[in-house]
Amino acid sequence: MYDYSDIIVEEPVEPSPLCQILYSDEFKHLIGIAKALMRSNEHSERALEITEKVIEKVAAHYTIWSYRLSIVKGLENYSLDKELEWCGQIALNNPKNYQIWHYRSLIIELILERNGNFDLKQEYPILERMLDQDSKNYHVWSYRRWLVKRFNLFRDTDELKYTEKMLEEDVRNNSAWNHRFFVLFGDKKTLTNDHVQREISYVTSKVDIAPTNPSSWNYLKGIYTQLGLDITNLQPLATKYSDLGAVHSQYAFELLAEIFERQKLFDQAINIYALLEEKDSIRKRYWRWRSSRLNF
Amino acid sequence: MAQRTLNYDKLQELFAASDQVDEFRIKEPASKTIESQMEVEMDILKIYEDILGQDKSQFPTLRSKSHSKYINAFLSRPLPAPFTALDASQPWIVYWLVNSKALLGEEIDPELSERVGYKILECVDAETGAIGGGSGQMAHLAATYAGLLALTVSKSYNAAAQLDRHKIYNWLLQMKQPDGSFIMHYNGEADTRAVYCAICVASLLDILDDKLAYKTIDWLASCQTYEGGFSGYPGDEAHGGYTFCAVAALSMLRSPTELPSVIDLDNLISWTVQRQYNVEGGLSGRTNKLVDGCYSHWAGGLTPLLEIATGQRDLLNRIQLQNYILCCCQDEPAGLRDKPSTRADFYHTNYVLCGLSMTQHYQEYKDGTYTGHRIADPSITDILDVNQVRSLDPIYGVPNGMASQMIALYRA
Repeated sequence: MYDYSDIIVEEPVEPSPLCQILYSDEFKHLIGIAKALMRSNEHSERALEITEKVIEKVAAHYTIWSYRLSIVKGLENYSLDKELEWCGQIALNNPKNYQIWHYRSLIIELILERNGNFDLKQEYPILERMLDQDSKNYHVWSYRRWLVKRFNLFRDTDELKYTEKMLEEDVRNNSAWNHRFFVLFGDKKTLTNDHVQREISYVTSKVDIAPTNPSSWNYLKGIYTQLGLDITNLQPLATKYSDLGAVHSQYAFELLAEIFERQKLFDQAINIYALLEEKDSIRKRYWRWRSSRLNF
Repeated sequence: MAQRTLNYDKLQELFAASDQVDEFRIKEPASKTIESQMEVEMDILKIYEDILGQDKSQFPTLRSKSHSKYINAFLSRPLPAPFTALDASQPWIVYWLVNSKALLGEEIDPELSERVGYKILECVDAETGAIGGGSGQMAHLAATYAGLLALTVSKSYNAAAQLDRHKIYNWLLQMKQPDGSFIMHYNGEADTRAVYCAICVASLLDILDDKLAYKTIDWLASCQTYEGGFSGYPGDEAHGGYTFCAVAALSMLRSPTELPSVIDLDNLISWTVQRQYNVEGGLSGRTNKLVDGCYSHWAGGLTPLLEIATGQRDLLNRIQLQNYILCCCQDEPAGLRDKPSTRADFYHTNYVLCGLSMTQHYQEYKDGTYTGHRIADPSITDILDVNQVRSLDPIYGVPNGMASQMIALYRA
């Protein structure tokens, strides 16, 4: 513990009584020192320590995160790798937090600025641990998306393999599907025909595993829209899972209706929508509306 | 009494159809998603079964008095130490509480209004003029949004008049990014929440201009994902909260009727209606995620905007969402919650009530303003007075009409 005895903590003159938080004395002390040091813009080891203590208690304290960033920038000898490691610990204890991952990206920018390079591999263990805790953590996937863009990992084999591993574990992990889509299409570059075909077979195989999984159907339709492909090519697959006598899925029915619409087979589309009204009755009015929009 | 029959009958329909859901799903490989989904469904089906086993007259109604008591308790005494976790979200606490109170039809008396004003002004960051998460904290877009809404709902016009709009305008310009997005604060993250908060703040303070709005529509449109919903940042996953932020912001920058010219509206509608689940009746925030009462607002709250955009009402099933709210989201002894396995909190209390309001009202859009109309059709939703909450402005998340009073104050 550093010496803070010279710090004069300012107390608010008359704090507003509405929704006043009854802070512990310890927190009052910590935040008081942190704010005092922030006012004098002190960049020191002890300032760094106090921000750490506040953030450990209130990870959403964005003002203190911002102050910490300026301290880290000011302390040129402070190890940025150590900072990333500390960040990881805070992240593990605070899975739903808006500050940590953005802060992490700023530290990496700082490393790049100072060293000219950054070894991406060191990021994977913490991401792995976070997604082990919660495989759909929005902040973590968002950070991973940032990495893909920042380090140009579009169509990177390892990154694609990672999403395959995640989908192997849970084919309904929509975050993994979404990430895969970004890795393939996020930079708007065109894929080779061969690659497109392979991707379509990949997602089709996932539909076969779990035909009632909306994630894979959405992904499949997403590829078709993204690349401007003709959805009528999906008729065999949609038909396969629209058989009332066998395994069927509302997403297949919906796709089939869309295919009929495209083919101007409106009677057939209307029949499918009528079926959806009955089978997916919570969306009865929605399906009826879809049907009513068809022009003859 | 006739209407309680409607809720009951509709719940019975939902319950009867629930066994269809598992016909094929159970043959698919087990995974975390399926396991947790089935666990929640079982909890909820048990609740529905119990309710359907009782007389129709016993169907749950909104326990307004208990919820009011819960809210008023926290408005009249200090918050215990665990609330330290929300130290950087104090304007939010005030907004959630006063807005819930207003939705429940309670009046906010001049004394409370003054206390709200005092509290929010205490959070103002002197350097920028905007509002922070608490006294001595840096200005933050979400805190500024929540603080302004708290002033709006409690009609704290004296306090509102003390805000320095010129300074806030300059600060907003500093938060503005060249790509059209906004960052939350200095060194902060950019996302659709920040954009929504910025546009709401500028609009409430009547300082929204072309410079602030520059390229923002394009940036928001680039957040629409292949699934149809919107993400927090281009390339991220479609999510209820971010979708509301994006669509509400676009509706402010243009109008809901112009949505088809900037986004893929059909895909957005398709994604939105898929948020509603067949067994629960409630809404989830993302594909293959669990139902959560707060998405009654974030996803459900898109409904009025989509209805205006298409001219088609009831794209979402209002009565079944209402059943989920009434049967599953009311905690004991009070407050509203995410789902039966969770406890009530201020955030859920507010957004579940916002969602409930949507199930009871249609919104009419005329000359840039929204008017709420209580739904009188008993085949759509209940018309029981006991469940009634005030109609909600579909953009700002405060009762209809209050935002325009605030804007008028600054315009004067």
